[in-house]
Amino acid sequence: MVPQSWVLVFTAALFGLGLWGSLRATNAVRILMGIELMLNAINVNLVAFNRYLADQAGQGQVFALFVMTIAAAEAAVGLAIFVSLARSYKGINVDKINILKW
Amino acid sequence: MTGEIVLFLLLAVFTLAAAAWSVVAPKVVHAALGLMTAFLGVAGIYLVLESPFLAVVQVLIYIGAIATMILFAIMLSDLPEIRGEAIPAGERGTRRAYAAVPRWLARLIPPAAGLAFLLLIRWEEVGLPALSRPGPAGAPIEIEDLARLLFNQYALPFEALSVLILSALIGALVLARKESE
Repeated sequence: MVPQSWVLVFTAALFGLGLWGSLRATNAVRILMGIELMLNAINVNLVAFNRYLADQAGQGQVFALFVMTIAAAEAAVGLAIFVSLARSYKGINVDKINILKW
Repeated sequence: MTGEIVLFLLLAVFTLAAAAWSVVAPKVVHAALGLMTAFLGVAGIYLVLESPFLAVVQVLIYIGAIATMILFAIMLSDLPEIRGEAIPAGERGTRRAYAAVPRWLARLIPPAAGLAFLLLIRWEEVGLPALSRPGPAGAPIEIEDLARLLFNQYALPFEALSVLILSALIGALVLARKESE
C-alpha cells in the first residue's frame, strides 16, 4: 500500500502547480485550466483520505463525484463568459478586462 | 517496494510533469493538451488508490468533456492572444528548458500514455505481478456501494446537482449567445 503521506505530497504539488498556473496567467482560459488542476488535486485527496481512514465507506468517492460535476458546470459557464467577453472586448486578457471595477 | 508503489511514483511524476507543462507551455493549445495528459495521470492514480469507477468517470468527464470543451473554445476562437501568449521576461529560462526536450520525445508521450493506461487497466491479465491488495478488513469499495450511497444517503444533493447542471447549461447558452439587434 502506498503511504498516505506520499499521496498527500503528490496532491500538494499538483495543487501548487494549479495555483501557480492560475496566478501567473493573464489569459482567462489558462486561469480556468489552473483551477481544474487544483480541483483534481482536491479530488485525489478526498479519495485518498477515504481509502486510508474510512476504508469501508465510500463517502469520499461520492464527494469526489460531486466535485467533478461542479467542475464541469463551472468550466461550461466560465468558457461561455470568455466567449461573450472575447466578442465584446476583442480579447480575454484579464489585465485589460475591468468592467467590474468601480 | 511493491509494484503498487513503483506504479504510484511513475504516475505521480508523469502527472506532475504534464501539469507543469500545461502551466508553462507557451501556446495555449499545448497547455490544454498538457492538461489532458495530467487528467489521464490522475485517472491512473485513482486506479492505484483502488477507485476504478472514479478513474472511468475521470476519463469520461475531465478528458472527454472538460478538456475537450476547453480545446474547442481555444480552437474555435480567432483571437491571436488566445492561441499564443507572450511569456514574461523572467520565465524565458523555463521556456528554454522545455524547448530543449527533443521533438520526437514529445511526440512519443501521448501514445505512451495511452498504452500505459491500457496496461494499467489490464494489469493482471498481462501476467505482471499482482498489485498488493489490502486484507479482508479493507475490502475495496464496489460500484454497488457507491450507488447505494448516492441514491439513498446523498439522494438530495444528487438531485440538487442535476438542477445545478441544468442551470449551468442554460446559463452557458444564454451567456454565449450572439446578441441580435
